[in-house]
Amino acid sequence: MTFDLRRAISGVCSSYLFWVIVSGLAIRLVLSLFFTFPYDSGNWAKIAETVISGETLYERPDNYYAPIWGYLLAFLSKLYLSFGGTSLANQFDEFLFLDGFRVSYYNSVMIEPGFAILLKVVLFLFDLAVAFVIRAIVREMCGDVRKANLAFTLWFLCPLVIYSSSVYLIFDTLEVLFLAICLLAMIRDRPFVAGAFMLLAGMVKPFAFYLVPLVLVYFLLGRSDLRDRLNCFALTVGGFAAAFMVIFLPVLLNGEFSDAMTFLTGRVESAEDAVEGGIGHIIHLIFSFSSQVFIWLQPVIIGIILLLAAKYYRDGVRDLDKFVNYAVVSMIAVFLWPVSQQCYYLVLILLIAMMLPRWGVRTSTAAMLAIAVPAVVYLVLSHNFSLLMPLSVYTDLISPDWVLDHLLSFNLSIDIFGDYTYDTSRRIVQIVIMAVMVALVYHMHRRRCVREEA
Amino acid sequence: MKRPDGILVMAAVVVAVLLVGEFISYGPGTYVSESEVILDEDGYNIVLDTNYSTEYTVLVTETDANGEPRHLYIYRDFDYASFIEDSYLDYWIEKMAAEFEAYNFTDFTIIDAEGLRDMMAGSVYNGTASQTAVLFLTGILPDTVYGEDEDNLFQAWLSAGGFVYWSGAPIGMFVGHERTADTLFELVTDDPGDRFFGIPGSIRTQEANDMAQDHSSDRYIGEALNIYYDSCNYGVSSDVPDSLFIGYEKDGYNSIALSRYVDGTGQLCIFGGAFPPSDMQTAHSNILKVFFSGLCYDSVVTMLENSEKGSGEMTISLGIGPTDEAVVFVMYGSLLGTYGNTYYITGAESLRRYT
Repeated sequence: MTFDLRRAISGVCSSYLFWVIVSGLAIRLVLSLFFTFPYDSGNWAKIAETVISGETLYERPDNYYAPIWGYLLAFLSKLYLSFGGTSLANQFDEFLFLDGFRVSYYNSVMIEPGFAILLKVVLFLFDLAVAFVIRAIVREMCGDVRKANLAFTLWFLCPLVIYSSSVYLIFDTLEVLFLAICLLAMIRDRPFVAGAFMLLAGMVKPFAFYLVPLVLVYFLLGRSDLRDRLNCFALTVGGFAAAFMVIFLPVLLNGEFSDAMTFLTGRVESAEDAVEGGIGHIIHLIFSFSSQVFIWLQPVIIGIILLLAAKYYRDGVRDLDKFVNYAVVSMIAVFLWPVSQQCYYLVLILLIAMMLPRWGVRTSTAAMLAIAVPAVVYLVLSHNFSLLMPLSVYTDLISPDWVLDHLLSFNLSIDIFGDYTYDTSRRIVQIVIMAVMVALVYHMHRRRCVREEA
Repeated sequence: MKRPDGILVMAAVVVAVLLVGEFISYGPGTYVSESEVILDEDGYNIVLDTNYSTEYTVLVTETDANGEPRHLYIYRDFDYASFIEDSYLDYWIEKMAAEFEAYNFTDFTIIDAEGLRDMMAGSVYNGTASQTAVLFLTGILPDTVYGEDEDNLFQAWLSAGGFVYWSGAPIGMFVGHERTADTLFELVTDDPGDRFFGIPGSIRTQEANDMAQDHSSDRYIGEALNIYYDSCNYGVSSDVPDSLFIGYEKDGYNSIALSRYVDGTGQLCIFGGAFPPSDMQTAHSNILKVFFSGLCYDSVVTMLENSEKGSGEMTISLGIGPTDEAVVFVMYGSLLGTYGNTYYITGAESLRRYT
C-alpha cells in the first residue's frame, strides 16, 4: 500500500474539523496580536522572573495560585529565554499611577509581546486539546461523529474561550482540560486517572472540585458489590492523593503550602473581614455584587451540590446524560451568584458542549452564546482600554496618551444614577447573566417535565 | 498492535511538561547567574555570566560621601507603636529575604527598639556609624533613640555618618512609645524639614494619596535600576541641596530622595509615601535596590549600561583606573531582577566584594 500525500492533504483540507481549527486559531492569533490584558499577565512575568532568580515560586509577592500554573510558567520562560528572549515584562512610567487607581484591574507592568504570544499559543493548544477531549466524550456518549464534531466546534469557537486565552491570557482552559480528561476517564471507568486529573483541575482553579460528589456517585452507581465500590472509591482517592503528592511535594518540603493556597484562604479571609464591618457593610457588599458574597454563600452552594448528587444516587442509574444534566445544574448553582471573573464559566461551557447530544445543536449553541456573549461583554467592560496598553508601549500603532485618556474617561464617567458607568454597566451585565442562568435551569426543568409526561 | 489512546498521550505530555516546570522551579540550580570584577592593565572590567539571555544593568558611581559597605539593620519591634500593621511588616520582611538572596547580600540584622539604641550608641562611640544603615518601614522612630529634644541618639548617629532608609510617614514627625504606654506616639513639634535638612517645609507632611508623575532630576538612574515608586505625600523638596532625586516629582516634592543630613556626614534615603503605597508589590525591592546600588546623595554616574546579553560570558570595561575609587552595581532582569551584586573598588588596586 502506498501513501498518497496529496490525497491525504486534500482529505484533511476538506474535513470539517480542519476549517474549524483553522478559523478558531486565526481568530485567536489576530486578537492576540492586538489585545492583551496586562494586569494578570504582568504577574505571570513576575512569577517567571522569581524562578529565574533561583527563588521558589512563592518567595516573591504576587503569586496567589497553586503551583501548577507556576510550573508551566517556569517551563515556558525557560523555553522563551533559550530562544533568545531577554526580558519578560517591563514597567512603564505612563501607567504607574494606575497602581493606586480606584479600579484595581490596571497596573504599570506590561508583559513583553514575545513572551505573551508564547503563553497565548500554549493556551490555544490547551483550547484545542479540550475540544478534542470533548469530541471524544461526546462520541462515547452518543457514538455520533457529527455531533461530536459540533460539540468540538461549540467549545473551540466559543467567544469566551477565545477571549480567555487570546486576550485575557488567563489559564482557566487548563483547569477545563484536566476536568475534561477526568470526565473522560470517568466514562471509561478509570477511577485512579479520574481522581488524579480531578486534583489537577481543582488545583488550577477550585471550581472543578464542585463536581467531586457527582463523579463519585457516577462510579458508585456502576458497581453493586460493596467491595467493588470500596475498591473504586479507594482508587479515586488514591489518584487524587498521588497527583497531590507529585504536584505539591516540593512545595510542602519548602513549607510553602499556605502560600500556595492563598487563592482559597485569601478569599475566605476577605469574606471574614467583611463580616466584621457590620450589617450595613454586608448589605452594601450584597448590593454592590461584591465577590465576598460568593464565599458567604458556600454553605448554600455546597448544600445544593450535595443534594443533587444524592438525587442522582437515588435515581439509581449510571446514565451519562443524567450526570451531565446534574453537573450543569451544579455549576449553575456555583456561578448563579455574581462573580468578578467570568472566565470561570469555561467549566460551564464544557458541560454545555457535552449536553449537545441531548439538547441538539440549536439549543446548545443558544445556551453557549447566551452565557458566553454577556460574559465577554462583562470582561471587555472590566478590561476596556487597558487591553491596548501593551500595544501602545511596544508599538507605534497607538499612543499611551490616547489609551490613558480613553481609559480614564471611561472609568471615571458618571451615569444617570450618579454612579460610575463602569460599575453600573458591569452590574447590568451581571444581572443579565443571572437571568440567563435561571432561564437555562427553567428550560432544563421544562424539558424534563415534557419527557416525563411523554 | 493497538493504537495508543491519543487523549491519554496528550494528557501524559501535559503532565510531563508540568513535571519539567516543577524541576525548574524547585530543582537544583537550573539557572546560572554570576558576575566578577577583574583588574587588568587598562583598569577594571566586569564579566557578566549567565546560562540564559537577559537584560542587564551596570551602574558605576563615584562618591565623596562615606560610600562604603554597610551592615543593614531592619527595624521591627511589635512592642512599640507603628503605622504599619505587624503582620504586614513581617510579610514584607519575609519577602525581602528573597531580594537579599537574589542580590547576594547577607549582611543584615532585624533589630528592635532596645537593640537600635545599643547599636546607635555603640557605633557613635566606636566611630563606626558610617558602616551602618537602618531601614525603617514603620513610619515612627522609637523613643529609645528619638524625641522632642534635638539632642537625641538618632540624630547623633546620623551626624556620625549613619544612613537611614525610610518610608511610611514624614520622617522624624512621630516618636513612638511602648504599646503598654497611655500614649502610643507623639507628634514632634519641630518641622522635620528644618530638623533634618535645615530648610523648613522641605519634607512634605500631606496626608492625601498623592502620586507624582514628572521625572525628578536624576530619574534616569531610577529608571535604569527598574525603580518605580511614585508616592510623594511625605517626599523631600527639590530645594534640598546635596541630594539625588531618582523617582518622580510633583509640586516640587520628590518620591525618592537621597539627601545629606544637615549636620555631619549622615545620609537619608526617603521613599515619600506609605509602605507600600496602594497595592504596589515592588516597593520593598525598590528600596532595597537603592541600598544595594550603593548610591549616595553625591553619587556621580561614570558609567551606566542598560542592555541585553545572550547566554554565556560577556566582558565590559568599567572605565575605572587601577587606583580609582568607585562603586559597581550589576543587576540582571527587567522587573524585580533575577540577580545582583555590588563591588566596592577602594582605590589601591583592591576590591571589596560586598557579600
